[in-house]
Amino acid sequence: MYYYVVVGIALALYVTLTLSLNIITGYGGQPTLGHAAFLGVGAYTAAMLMTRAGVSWWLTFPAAFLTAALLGLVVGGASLRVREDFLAITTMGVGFVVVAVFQYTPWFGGVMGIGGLVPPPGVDKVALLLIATGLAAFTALVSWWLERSWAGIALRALRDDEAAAEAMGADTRRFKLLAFVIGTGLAGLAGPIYAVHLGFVSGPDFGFHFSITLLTMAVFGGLGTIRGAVAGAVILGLAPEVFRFISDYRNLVYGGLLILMMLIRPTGLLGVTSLRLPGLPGRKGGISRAAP
Amino acid sequence: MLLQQLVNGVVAGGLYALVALGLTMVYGVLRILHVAHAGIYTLGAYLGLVFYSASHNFPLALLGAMALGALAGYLIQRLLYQPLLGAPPLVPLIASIGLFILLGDTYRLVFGAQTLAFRAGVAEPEPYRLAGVAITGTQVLILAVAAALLAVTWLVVNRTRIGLAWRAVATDLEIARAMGVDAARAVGLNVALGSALAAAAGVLVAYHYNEVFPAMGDVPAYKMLAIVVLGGLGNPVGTVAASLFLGLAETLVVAYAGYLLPRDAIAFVALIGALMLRPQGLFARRGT
Amino acid sequence: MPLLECRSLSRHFAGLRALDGVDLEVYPGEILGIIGPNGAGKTTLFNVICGVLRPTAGEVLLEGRPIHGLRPSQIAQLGIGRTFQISRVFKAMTARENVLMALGRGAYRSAWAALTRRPGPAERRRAEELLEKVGLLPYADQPAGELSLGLQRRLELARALAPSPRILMLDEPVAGLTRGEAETFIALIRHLHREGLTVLLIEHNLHVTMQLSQRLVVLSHGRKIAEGTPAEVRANPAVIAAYLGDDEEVAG
Ligand SMILES: Nc1ncnc2c1ncn2[C@@H]1O[C@H](COP(=O)(O)OP(=O)(O)O)[C@@H](O)[C@H]1O
Ligand SMILES: [Mg+2]
Repeated sequence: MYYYVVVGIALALYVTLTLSLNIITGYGGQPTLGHAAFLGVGAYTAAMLMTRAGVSWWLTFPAAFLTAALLGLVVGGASLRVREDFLAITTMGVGFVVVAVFQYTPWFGGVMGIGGLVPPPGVDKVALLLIATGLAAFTALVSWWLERSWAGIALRALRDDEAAAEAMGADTRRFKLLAFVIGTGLAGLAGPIYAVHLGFVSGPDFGFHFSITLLTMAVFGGLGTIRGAVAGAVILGLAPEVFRFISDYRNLVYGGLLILMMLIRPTGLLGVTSLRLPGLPGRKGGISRAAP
Repeated sequence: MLLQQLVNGVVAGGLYALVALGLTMVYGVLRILHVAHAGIYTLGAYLGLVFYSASHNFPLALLGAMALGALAGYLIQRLLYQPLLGAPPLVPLIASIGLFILLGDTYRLVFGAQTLAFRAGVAEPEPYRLAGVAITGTQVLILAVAAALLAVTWLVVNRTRIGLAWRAVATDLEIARAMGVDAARAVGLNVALGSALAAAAGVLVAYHYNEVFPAMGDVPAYKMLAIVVLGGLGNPVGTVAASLFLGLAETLVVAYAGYLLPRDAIAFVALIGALMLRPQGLFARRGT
Repeated sequence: MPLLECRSLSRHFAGLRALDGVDLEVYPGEILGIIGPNGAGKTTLFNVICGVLRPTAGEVLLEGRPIHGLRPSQIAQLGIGRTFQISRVFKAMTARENVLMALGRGAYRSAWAALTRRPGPAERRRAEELLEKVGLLPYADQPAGELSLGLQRRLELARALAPSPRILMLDEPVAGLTRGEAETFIALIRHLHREGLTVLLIEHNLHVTMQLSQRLVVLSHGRKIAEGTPAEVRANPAVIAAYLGDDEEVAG
């Protein structure tokens, strides 16, 4: 029973994180290779407030949202200057720097991280599962609303063609920033849950591998849809459990799966077709950007 | 002291340049962030180890690893990247990351998770001393091999027909085709040469630090991406400049302000700073 | 008073004078044609007016108010609609969604409005009307990227018309179309003009422009070399020379 609850919490967190990444990368088309860092910012915010300031766990949620969204705003600002591959590398770099700052600043506990994080009395693992599931549902609801709002339509338009979206009166800067702030803020909200679920926070846990896992989940399920993000998070989140009997080959299977998916069905299991259509605005030259 | 750091920095930069150059060349013709390039680097280290322990002949081990590394690179672009041409950039990027994960695990399964010694039992000879600067034989070797390979690559890119074909494909595929360039062949050779360089870097690093392990490509994988972006994605000269710059910057920052930042984060701090100032990369040509 | 006015507008690219001191007025309700050989600076003129490019010198006025230096989205908000020389429909969205997106112009003015509001029945009806108007209703739910070039052009037109612009700017709208498609398009623009729309039309093809425009401005090497009615321009030796020079270049 306990085992299922723990797996359930992990899955709910994965769903939340993948959905929040989907807002930035799926709806807005902005690559993110450092999404786990925003979970880290949320988790560290909760950990610091609880251990250093004695703030109630419940009150760390809004703080986690704000700090993560603030950093998201900064990274979103970068997305106004750099595009596509440059942006992918920039977000990856931000992830590295965030981890390094946590790991090498004594104030943040250094390499030891921050431990001894416990949920408030009355919040046992089952309650934590309920809260995590609630957050996942909330994130899905936000996504659902966003998809149908004018902002969601503007985001999909700018994902297709920024110049044309501008010509329709949508300030692409505004909507990119909006996607980054919402997406990173929601990832930050998962932080307090993550922190007390594990009991400690440690910089490297929010590094590149975790970020890639999240991106992979979103892409595997299908970018740009809620069902895709949820399916990707649940299937790949369960995979380590299911593949336990071949756990020695886990990364092999994982890597192979990614390759096959991209070769056979790059739109993901349940994604929108936009990933399939060639001729997205690209640069001249280089053979991969020219329609074959 | 400063001179010593400069030497160390140039050695590190030369190694970076070997790996990053292949990456930037591949980006030039394919427009793919070839993360799995670092997997070739690791492959080069293992192949070098295998050949070296069999023959105890370093040049042979180096050339053998480069040849097989080139073949591996060729196969990757043929079997993985060619089918993904025309897909949005995220698709080949994720495929490449998948391949990188797969390669790392394959090395672990084949060679074991433990760190292997490259030159078992052979001690590093005493360094040469010159005006207070200590240079080890390996450092000289690295500098010589790196300089030679970079020079050969420069000649191939700038003075041969195939180099011309690469530049044509990188600039405008349609015009290149109209000029009679066989794009598929040009790209295949390009990735093969780039991979040979990465494999060579793998052998040199393995020899230098006397260790080979499955995850040795992890840090380079990310760092090389930062370097090629700093160098203006697809720009070979800029990439070599950025490699040397980073090698020196890392060595100097660690030597004089080591507590500020971990060595491997410097690349990204430099990268982010530079991109905010010049969104197309530090050494990018104008208008590209 | 002109609706739109360019005053000694220049745009240079690293020494190349793509636009060189162009004066231009567009009056309400007219179709003003801009012609000129390839590379004359027509698209550059559009991009400067729409805020995609900043002018090197000179100004752009909309009803007397300067608009140069504004972002493209701000200029679109002021009621300047445009199409692109190379089709730029939102490929992954359906034709219907393409038009709907353009109807959100009011909501896009603030992040809060865009986030809290969504398209309602009124917008959906209006989108259908626009699709009907350009003859795209049968294709409403196809991904725009899969439409033929002729249909994509009409979709771009519907999209530009959606927020009821005060000026419609068309960049070579019939280039690459079949004769039949071009005829349909021209008839459509005539119809819109009769409804009172002001149009600024770029067209490389002299025949089409002469047919549609009341007034023409001729650009060559970034300069305005002639202006007047189609008949006046046709008789102007400078214009003939500019076009012939172009043809010779192409032939040679
Ligand atoms: N972004 C740009 N950078 C450099 N040169 C440009 C750019 N855009 C246009 N040009 C040059 O400006 C001149 C005018 O181009 P353009 O306005 O597209 O002409 P037209 O639309 O009349 O055919 C051409 O010589 C073209 O090469
Ligand atoms: Mg033009």
